[in-house]
Amino acid sequence: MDTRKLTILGEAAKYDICSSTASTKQFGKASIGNTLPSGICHSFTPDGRCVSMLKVLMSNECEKDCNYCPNRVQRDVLRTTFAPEELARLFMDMYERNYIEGLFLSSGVRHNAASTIENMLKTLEIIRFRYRFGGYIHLKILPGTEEQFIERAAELSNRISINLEAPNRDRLSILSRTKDFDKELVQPLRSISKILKRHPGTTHSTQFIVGAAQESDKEILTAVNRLYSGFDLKRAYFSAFYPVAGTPLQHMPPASQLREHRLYQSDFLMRFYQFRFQDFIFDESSNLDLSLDPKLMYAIKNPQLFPVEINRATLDQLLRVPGIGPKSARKILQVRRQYKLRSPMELKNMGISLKRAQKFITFDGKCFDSSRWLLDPNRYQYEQLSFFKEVSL
Amino acid sequence: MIRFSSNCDSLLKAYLLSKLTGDQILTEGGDSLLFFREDAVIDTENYILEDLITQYQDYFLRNIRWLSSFKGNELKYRISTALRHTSQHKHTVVFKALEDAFSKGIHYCLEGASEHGKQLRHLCSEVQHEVYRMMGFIRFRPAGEKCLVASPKLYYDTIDLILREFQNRYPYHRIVLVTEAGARAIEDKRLFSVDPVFYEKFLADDSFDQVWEEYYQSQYIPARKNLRLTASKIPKKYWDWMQEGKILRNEE
Ligand code: SF4
Repeated sequence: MDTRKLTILGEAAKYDICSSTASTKQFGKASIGNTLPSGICHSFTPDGRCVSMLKVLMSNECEKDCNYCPNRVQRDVLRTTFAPEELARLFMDMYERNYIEGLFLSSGVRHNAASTIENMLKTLEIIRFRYRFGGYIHLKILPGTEEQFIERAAELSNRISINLEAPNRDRLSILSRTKDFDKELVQPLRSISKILKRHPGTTHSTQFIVGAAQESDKEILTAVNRLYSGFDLKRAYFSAFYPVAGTPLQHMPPASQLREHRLYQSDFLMRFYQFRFQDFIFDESSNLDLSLDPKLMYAIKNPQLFPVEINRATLDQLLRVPGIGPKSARKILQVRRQYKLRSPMELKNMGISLKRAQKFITFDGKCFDSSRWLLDPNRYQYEQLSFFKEVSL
Repeated sequence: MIRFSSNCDSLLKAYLLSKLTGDQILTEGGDSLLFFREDAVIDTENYILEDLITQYQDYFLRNIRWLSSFKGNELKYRISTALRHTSQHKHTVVFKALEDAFSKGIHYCLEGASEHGKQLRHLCSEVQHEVYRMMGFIRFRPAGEKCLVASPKLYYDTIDLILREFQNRYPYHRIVLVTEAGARAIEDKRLFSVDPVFYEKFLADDSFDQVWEEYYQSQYIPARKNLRLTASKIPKKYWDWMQEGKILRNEE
């Protein structure tokens, strides 16, 4: 098999960061393939990112001019396109051997959005109806895609998504002269949100390029917050900008990965920790603090809420304690029904990061750390805390 | 002395018998049984779990009906899974975790608040982790019409659990796993043993390996290289076995 096409179109899709294959949507009468609520990772590249899907472009030909993108129309690069049959067969061969858990299909806008998305949908139809595949498919909706195609995409996929790339019209205009924020991105997003009400089980997500349009974290989180509350968005992804040779932004410095990480932490806080947009603390340039995670920052700015009594705190209160995540908070509530928690070791055994949590809790009124410390925040100490088990917040 | 087999029911019976008789459970190292007279040994095989639960409740005036509840089933599932681990101390851990569940509450044990509850959860999650990892890391070779074969590297007794998971993914295939301990297969939800020799020829190199390697390389962003993160996701013990292991080693 000639693998050049796969290499070109795989490489062109690698900056899209959707790796989750979790889905509850089932396709009846499947002869191969299933979905799981937790998703499966099949490999990890040397950069630590999960490889769970065949992530490719249908074509890297594109008529748009996004300044950061390796596929922009003005860039001198080898162009190629998959035929629907060819891509469907390749996907099934990889799926059968268990290399991947699903398909992530995106594309450059070849000629126009309608003809490109038609080809993408044809590929999905072959996979779903000829091969009777019941597993996971994520289809990228192209800018300016009409409703009829979105409807078909929602039927055939487990997830669909359209990348906003920038948080608002002004920022997008810095990145592209040919993409219309309202007509080509927000309008399809609105259609997706409306159409998905008729397709329970199909979800939608979006992605932002972080740092390419000099946007602030506040602008990004404002957009994300609006998408969660008004567009039923399932997930937002953030991709730190990295300059690509041969593009207008090639000399711009890359965005920090820590900034990307802080945005993910804030996003998690909104989705799983009942944090509201107003709870985030931004600096004078409207960005999140890079040295402290957003949950710790919240605790520092709200010392009156701590320490909380571990045997009486509500779920909401527990979720605000640095080091206690949603799973741990629920465990605490369960154990408390039959047994009074007495020692920090019990929390440690339950997988809670004591180094982070201990300063913010009491056991039957007893504090195992200095609570005075909360009244006199010392930045150095907080920064030390920030190093412990950041992922679980 | 109480003798038990390595399954959840038997361990539960042994625990209840030890409480009812005040006798000791023979945990690790079965040889010491030789020093006991046959009639001095209580064998859990001779008892019914339900009867022992009733006797326990009558004797200690404590309600342990939670054993048959959702949470009780979760505990039994956790014990059964932990027993697939190779740890020499797994039986001791189970008995101590049971002691916590009976004395401090089922949640205290299940959520891992106690040291032994934590250890039980740890054994169980290591076994579950192997199943979960293998769902992604195993690579099949076609072995004739609707038959797939692979040769995974397993550290625990998980082969049947993995096959059951794969049956959902390939409902009309025969799936065969060849390991050092032998070869097992599943077809139409039925598990059975097969002759590994027959499948060896299919396990030789697949021309498709090249396709995967090219694709894998195409997804890598060198500017974000983070091998420590990769090693936490694909532990190094799998690097010699997995196809992309050699790419990872070259990046070291
Ligand atoms: S539309 Fe998509 S593929 Fe085309 S230049 Fe913009 S980001 Fe790149």
